[in-house]
Amino acid sequence: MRMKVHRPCDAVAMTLTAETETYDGMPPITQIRFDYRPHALARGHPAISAALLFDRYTNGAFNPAGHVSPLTAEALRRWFAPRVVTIGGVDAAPHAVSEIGRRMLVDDGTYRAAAMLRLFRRPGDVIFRLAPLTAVGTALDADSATVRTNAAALLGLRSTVSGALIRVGAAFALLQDYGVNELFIPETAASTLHCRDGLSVVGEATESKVSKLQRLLASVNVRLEAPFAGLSENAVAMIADAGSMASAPQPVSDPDAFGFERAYHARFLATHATAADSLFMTPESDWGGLLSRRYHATVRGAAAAVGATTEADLGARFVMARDRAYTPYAFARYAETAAA
Amino acid sequence: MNDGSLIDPSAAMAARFVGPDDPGPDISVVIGYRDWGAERLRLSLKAHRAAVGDLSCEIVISDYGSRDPSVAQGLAAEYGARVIHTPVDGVWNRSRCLNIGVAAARSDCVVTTDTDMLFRPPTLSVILNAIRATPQAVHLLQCKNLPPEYDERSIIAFDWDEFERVSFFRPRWGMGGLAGFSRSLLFSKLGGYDERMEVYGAEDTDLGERLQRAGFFMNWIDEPSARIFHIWHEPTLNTIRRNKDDVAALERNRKIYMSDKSFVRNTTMRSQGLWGRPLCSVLMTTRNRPQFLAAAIRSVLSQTVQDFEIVVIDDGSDTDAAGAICKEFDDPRIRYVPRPRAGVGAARNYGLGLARADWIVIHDDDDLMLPTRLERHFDTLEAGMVGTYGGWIDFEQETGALTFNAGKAFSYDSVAFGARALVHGSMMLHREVLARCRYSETLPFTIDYNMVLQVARAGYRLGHTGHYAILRRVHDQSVTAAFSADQRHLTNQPIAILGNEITAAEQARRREAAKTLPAAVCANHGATAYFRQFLAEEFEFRESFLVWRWLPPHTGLTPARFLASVIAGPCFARSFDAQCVFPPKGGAHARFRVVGGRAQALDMARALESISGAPDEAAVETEGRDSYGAPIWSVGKTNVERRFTPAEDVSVFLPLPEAAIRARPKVTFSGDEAVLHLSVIKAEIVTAFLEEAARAFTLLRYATQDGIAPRRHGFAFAMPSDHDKSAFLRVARAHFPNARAGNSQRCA
Repeated sequence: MRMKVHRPCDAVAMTLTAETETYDGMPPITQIRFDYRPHALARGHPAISAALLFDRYTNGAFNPAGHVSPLTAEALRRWFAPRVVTIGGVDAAPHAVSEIGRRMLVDDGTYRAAAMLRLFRRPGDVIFRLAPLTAVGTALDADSATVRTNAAALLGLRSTVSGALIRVGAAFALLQDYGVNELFIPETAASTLHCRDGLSVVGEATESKVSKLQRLLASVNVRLEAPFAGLSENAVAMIADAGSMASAPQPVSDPDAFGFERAYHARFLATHATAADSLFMTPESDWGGLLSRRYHATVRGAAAAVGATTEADLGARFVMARDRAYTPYAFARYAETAAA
Repeated sequence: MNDGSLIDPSAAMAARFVGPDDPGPDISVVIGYRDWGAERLRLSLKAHRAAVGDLSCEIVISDYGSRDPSVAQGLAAEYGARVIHTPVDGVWNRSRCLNIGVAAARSDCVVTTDTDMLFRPPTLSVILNAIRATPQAVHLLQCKNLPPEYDERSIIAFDWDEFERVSFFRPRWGMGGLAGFSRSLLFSKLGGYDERMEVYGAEDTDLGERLQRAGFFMNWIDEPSARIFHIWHEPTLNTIRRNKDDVAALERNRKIYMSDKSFVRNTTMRSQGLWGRPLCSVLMTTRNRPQFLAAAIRSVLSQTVQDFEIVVIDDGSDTDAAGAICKEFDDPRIRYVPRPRAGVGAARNYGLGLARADWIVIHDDDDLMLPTRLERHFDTLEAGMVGTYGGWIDFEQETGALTFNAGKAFSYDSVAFGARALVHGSMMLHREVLARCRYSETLPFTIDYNMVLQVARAGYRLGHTGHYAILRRVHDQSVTAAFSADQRHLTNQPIAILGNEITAAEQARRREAAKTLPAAVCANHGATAYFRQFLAEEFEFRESFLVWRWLPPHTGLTPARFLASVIAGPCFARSFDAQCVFPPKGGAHARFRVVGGRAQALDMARALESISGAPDEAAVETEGRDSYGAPIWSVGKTNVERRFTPAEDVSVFLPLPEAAIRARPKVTFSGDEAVLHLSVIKAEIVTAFLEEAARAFTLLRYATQDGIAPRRHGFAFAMPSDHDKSAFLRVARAHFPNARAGNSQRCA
């Protein structure tokens, strides 16, 4: 994969273009556009950004835009392993690497992110979000950046692409401008960097993908923290819902919010639910284990509130709620209102 | 590893060898087999058992057409494998054989290989780890050829070190001797090996190419401990070369590999696929329009691709008529889901959640599909595409008029700034694209357009199928009609929002440039005639046939000249089909199918009179109905005399949609050649015309006073100077091989 970066002087934009080569898979889009023009890009940042964004499709050779240090090149080789990928653009000349900076928390709109923000945010931190694909423009201020980019189009077309890679890859466009050298991502053990598809669960490689990502980012002096990486979804849900319901931050208006839950719940219903089935799955079931205990309880509570015991009964009301980006909290409130 | 022992796996090893009743294994090995000989298969099974290690492994023998299935079954029983026997009375088809085996495998991690491969331990573990670590790749291992001394008769022990020493990597570095992959994440999404490829050859390299087009890639395993060895045997290619049918099959395979750039295959092979879920989901939403729904569903059921499901989301209809219609089809592929009204956007998003397939075919409940629509979608799906779309034919419900719209190449500019680039109901998209670019649940109108705009804006690439996909009804119950005034205003709303990322000057420039975007080339293949079976009732009172009888000697015109004059005369401006009929028993008449009804028939009759010079007033009378049920009108009172005896019925249909024609056509006669000159505005209209004319030429004869003589006929088209003539010529040559470009393009 050969990458090019274009930052025109006459537009508030940057494009990252991927040219596929002999052994690459063809991505659904080959040009990532950011409605943001970085003032500066540190050495190695475009390479890491591209490697994460197009990780899913890269094979054979990776020729980044700009140069990378030997350390970053080695980290990239390890990142792509067990694929054999040669890294181009290696520049052995010494360059300064920034070591003091701010923290950036990557908010994906889930309750996991809500928990992370509640527990770890401190003054001076930057909140990074990807604007919805349908949004226009980027919203910036000193402490937050909601960046519009079509990078989200790379999400999920193949189930093993993780949203975290896309968000971290996109965030790299701003790291130098915001002086960031530490990233927090809210991924948990269940969501960590491989998504499940249908009935097939694909396990991790021998080395944890998080560790590999940490090593990759460390090669450009960016520290990666995934504070929930070892926790289950239920544990994080409890953290997220701890405290006053009223203070639970609402998710951003993002179609991905609770997409994880909604998508799999919908798919479960499509493949398993009949009119006679009792409601949903248990947390102990294979499907149910993907969702938080809080989510289960909320759904059951909503069903009970409206006196429904089957999907057919609850049907329309729940589906209408599910189609929107409701938090479990908000859905519970909705169900209470509906029952009233 | 050299265990030096004879092949006699331990009981412990055997215990890890999964049989048919065990729960899901770690890995499934699929071996294609057909009468290759018991010994080779025995060796292969023994080697696999030895290579299992700590894995739970299933062996599936896909026996494709063995004359004596008991051989494989006996060995399978001895070594704990499963046999899937497919009785076949035909040639060997490695693609189909392996696809059947892969579909039957009980693990999602699958390895396909041949009977003559020996797997060294711990090759299977290495492959499994590779599949799990990189599920978006096919994992390949190049085999090493054993020398002639190591055929199936002489191999007694698996001396792996010795095999390593004496073997060489296969000289043709193709796809190795095995392929390991995730069935659900990769293999099934491509439809498996291409089953059009018979015998063997190119099906594996074709799979490799298709992988990359679909966004996957090949991974060559490079581990010293992972080795596969090829048992020596007489080269299969020598056997194939002795059979000319097999040679022809290899040549066909090669042509498919070289010319077919799509990546999903086997779409028309089966009524239901092998992979546990349908190839595509046809997504329809409906509300209070049951009168159109049945025809829409029927058009889907008539597809050449039968591996689909139809998801009908009823967005709060007032009655359960739609449900009754769906139930009446009694087809398990139709899923009817009613819900309270939430709007078409919400209904579609909900339907997306219920759809089981990766590919979502969007279809409106009042539209009809051409029978090859689904097939064309997949045939056109090439590298980097996330969907495809086709042209559409607008059908005016009130008048029966048909307007052919080929559409344009897909881009942000063609969608945002151009006109009639594509229509939403002709699209097929990958489900994740629709999940990313969801239908708005807040916009009251232009929901479809907004979605398409977002798809374009995200940078996704769609391909045009080169064919018409649907007939789209234009009627007063459509959203377009119901909210036409408001919708015209709100069509701008998505653009108004998105326009904030493009300066006004840039928008103006791009809007101007979009005007010159060329139309796509769209083949017709009898769409009009096909849709008649669905629209017989709608056509009933909208077409009139004028049966015009004339006496050639009285008028001085041969039928052909008469017809040409009619076409060139004042009648050309109307939409009609002209048919010259010469019944075997004599007489002649010209029938003009006029779209518009009785009033238009009378109008046409008066025009005909002025040409033929027939006496007196035109009388328009009915003569019953034709096979479509349309009334036939007769005009005139002239008698018919028999002047010649044609050998057969002759008919010529010459559709001339008026909107496409720039000026009055001209007919020239030169010797025995008649040429109709047309000056056209839109070449895609002429494309449809060419299709009809091609069919007509197979029948056309017309008589002279001396008897029947075939004549040459031609069409000359004058086009705007900036039109892409080469594209038009390409289409013309598909129907008329001698077509050439010049000052006028002759097409016969």
